Amino acid sequence: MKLVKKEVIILEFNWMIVKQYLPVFRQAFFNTLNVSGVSLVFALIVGLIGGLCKISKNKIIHNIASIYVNAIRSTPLLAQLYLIFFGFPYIGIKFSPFVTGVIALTLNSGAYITEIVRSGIEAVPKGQTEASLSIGMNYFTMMRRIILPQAFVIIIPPLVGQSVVLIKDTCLLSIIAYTELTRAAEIVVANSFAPSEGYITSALLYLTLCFVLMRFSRYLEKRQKKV
Amino acid sequence: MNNIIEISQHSIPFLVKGLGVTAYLALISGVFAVIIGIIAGISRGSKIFIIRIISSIYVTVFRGTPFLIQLYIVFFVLPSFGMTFNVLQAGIGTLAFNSGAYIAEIVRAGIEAIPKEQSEAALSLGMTPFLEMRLIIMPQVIRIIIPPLVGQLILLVKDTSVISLIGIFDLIKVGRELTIASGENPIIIYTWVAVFYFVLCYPLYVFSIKIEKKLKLKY
Repeated sequence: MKLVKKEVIILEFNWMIVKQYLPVFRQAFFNTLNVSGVSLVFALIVGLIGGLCKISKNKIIHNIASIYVNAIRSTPLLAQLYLIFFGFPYIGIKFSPFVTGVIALTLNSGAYITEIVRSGIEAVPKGQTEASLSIGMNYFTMMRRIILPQAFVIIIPPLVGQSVVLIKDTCLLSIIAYTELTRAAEIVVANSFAPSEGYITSALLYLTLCFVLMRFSRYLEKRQKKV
Repeated sequence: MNNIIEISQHSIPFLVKGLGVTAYLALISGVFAVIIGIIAGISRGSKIFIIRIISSIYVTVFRGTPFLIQLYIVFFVLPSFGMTFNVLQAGIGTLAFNSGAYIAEIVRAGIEAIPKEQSEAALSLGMTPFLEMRLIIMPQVIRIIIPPLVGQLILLVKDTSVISLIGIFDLIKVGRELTIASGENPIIIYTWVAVFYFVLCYPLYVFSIKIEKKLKLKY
């Protein structure tokens, strides 16, 4: 990017560089979606189990889930990433950057989704629980047929919000050399010495992804308010 | 076991210094972020089109892009525009603006939660919009937004770790350098890093729960 001083100061954004590195950005875009999607699926599973554990009356299960959630939510994702990325090879286990990223993102988002699931379940009116038990359902059937379906509807907006956070968190995976959007920008910068074209293009791609999801979340919230 | 104690004893003094840097970054950025967030949050609902549009674009852009990308842009791209910052300025400034965008959303949600009757009553008393904000709306808003605000400040403390990637020697960078320099067990060192972040963040979390209970009782 050059600052060209003529009569007026104009900025020239070198689109040729963007065009030249378009394959890199496209691959990185799909890699970002890939790692976000896989992590989200696993995080949802972890979050569902964790949420159920957190509302459990069993003190041991409840405390284990609480410790997990508090530990993850009080430490930065970067620290968790370093712990996994440097810790596992030290004890001899080697993962690919993709797997390391998925593990770190799953554990991190899983804790936040645990809280979302827990608040969703607690938001279902108590009358539903009482009615189910009075019909004679056991805990498992009550959860499966009555409580969880209603909780699921409640938690969709915050879940979409959490997936936006997840997509933005993938940018830290550039540190462990996984070629997602931020790493693509770094590659462009390293090869062409054009930081603007690299980082701004990545920023625009992230913005498009997140903007679409944020609008979708707002649409879902409005629909929920109608009901 | 002795090995663990030995490594811990060697690394903890350095980690504590890093913890000081992290706390300093978080404090300065936090103060600026709250100020920026309140201004942007109020501007989001402004009747003046240009103020509303600028603050909306600011909030959308800073909430829709990762903090690391924002940091890289401020540190590597802005110099082409003539604005050069050192690592500390770039880190604190970007963090303040990043968290400010989230705080703006929190403030806006708080303002929209105040019943419209309050606003109408204030204006019918002859208050200017500025007085209405200062005397009626904002005191009620501040009470409502304290729990999510503290939550955002916890995220701010954790985001200071990302600033280490442009070179600031905060807690996590100290941990990383210790691991590389000494080649010792990274699990022990990073666990201590996590413990120190926990010591910084968990009290804030407990504080937010206590404040939420206290504010609920006041009603």
